[in-house]
Amino acid sequence: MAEPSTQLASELPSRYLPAVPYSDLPEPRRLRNYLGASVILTATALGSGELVLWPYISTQVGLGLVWLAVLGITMQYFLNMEIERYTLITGETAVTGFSRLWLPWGGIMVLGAILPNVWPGWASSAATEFTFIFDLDDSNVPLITTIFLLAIGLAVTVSPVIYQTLEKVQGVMVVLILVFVVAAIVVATKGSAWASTVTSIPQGVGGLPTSIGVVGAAALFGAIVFAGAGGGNNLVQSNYLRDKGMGMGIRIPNIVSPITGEEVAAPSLGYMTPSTPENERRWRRWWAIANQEQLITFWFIGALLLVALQVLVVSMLGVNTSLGTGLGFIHAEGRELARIVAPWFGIAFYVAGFLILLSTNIGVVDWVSRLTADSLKVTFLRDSGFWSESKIYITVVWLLIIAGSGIIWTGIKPVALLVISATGGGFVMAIYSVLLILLNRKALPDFARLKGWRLPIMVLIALFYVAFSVFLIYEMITAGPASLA
Amino acid sequence: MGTVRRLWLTLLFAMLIFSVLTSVAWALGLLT
Repeated sequence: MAEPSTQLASELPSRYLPAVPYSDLPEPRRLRNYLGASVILTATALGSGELVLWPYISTQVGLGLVWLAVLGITMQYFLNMEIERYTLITGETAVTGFSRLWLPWGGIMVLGAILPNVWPGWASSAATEFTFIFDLDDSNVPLITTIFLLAIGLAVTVSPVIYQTLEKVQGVMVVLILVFVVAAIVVATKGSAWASTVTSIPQGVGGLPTSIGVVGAAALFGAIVFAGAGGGNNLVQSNYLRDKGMGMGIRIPNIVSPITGEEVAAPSLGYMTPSTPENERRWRRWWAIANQEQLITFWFIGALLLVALQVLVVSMLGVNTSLGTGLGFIHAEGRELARIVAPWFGIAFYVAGFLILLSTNIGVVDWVSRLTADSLKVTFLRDSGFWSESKIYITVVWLLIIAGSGIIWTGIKPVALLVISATGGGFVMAIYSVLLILLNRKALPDFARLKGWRLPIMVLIALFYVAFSVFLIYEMITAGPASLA
Repeated sequence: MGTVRRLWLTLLFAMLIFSVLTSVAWALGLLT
């Protein structure tokens, strides 16, 4: 493996961030070594669009819109690949690339990560599922949401310090949690018959949507954004590639993160692949491997779950607008499963939903904090001795926890919170889909540039997000934010 | 698979903290 040369690359814009040296692209290993690079992205994707928003839409309008969900995740596949293209060739995150085009883009991406994700849609959905498990009143949701967020904040902050211990006692933790779940079910559900609660399905919420137009433009856009990962989440794929040592990412020095105790790629600038026949050959192999990995781990699994969960909810409940605009459909789905399969199966369905939302929310808190820490550490806080990466990370974690815990007491409902997060994420995608086209057209060596049939596809995708964003902003200005609910 | 293992452990730990805090809230009669 050749050492990086001392000559500085002219391809990458260096007006706002320092130029980088040339370095040959490493030789890729086999696909199986990299399978799983997208698994975190996929795991974080499941809890919002797949589990909540799309099944919700299906209960309102049927399965007629499934193709839109598949279109949504397909668009994300192409976006992810452009994010990967930049990172494979340079070893830099796409956000660092945006900062090279114009320094404030990094800050805008940070705001675009934080602002949509302070809305506790996942936490309140999980809290609502918790009330289903134990047949608690809906009024408990704010308190449980707060506890839920607090638990995530504490776990993310404290677990690194006791990481080694946690690893040793993980078996014990599983047992303790199981004991809690079993004991709580026995205690809390005493005397309440699950099947009989079917009659309590909220009835007669008048004037509910039965068509796309009535589901609401924001909800539909949000659902398309959250079909897959969505928002700034896709950008963190750059960090996962670097951690995994894919492409030029392997040349990024790993540090033992003080946050996690794990080896991760340090926030740093990258390299530029010089145009040589050998690099071009390696690039072709990297590109093929990265595409296959994304197709299998992200697109296929994501699309399968999107479709399956919608089919499940419709075959259980049919198109049923009397379920309300909230998570009533999940409640009804669990009761249907309990009736058809066995009472424990309904509870297991809620528990699974709760766990998926918990892992999604941890993933969200993690990626937002990591993107922020990484981006600020290579730009505005590069030379700050006080603001280390871990300090920024922890600060953002608690900002999300505290803001989310405050917002939930205002009484905004889970689905509305998710729609807010998703539309905010959609605005961010509108911005970075354009930036990706500019960056990958401008800053890369000719053989790796965005061109050919992917270019018109990326332009159409960017147009889609931009048009939807402009439309929603226009609606908000002319008819007020409430018009989107 | 460092990140996956880390998130898994964090998930378990968060579950544990959530269980303890919810039990306390329940014991205090805050959950109805």
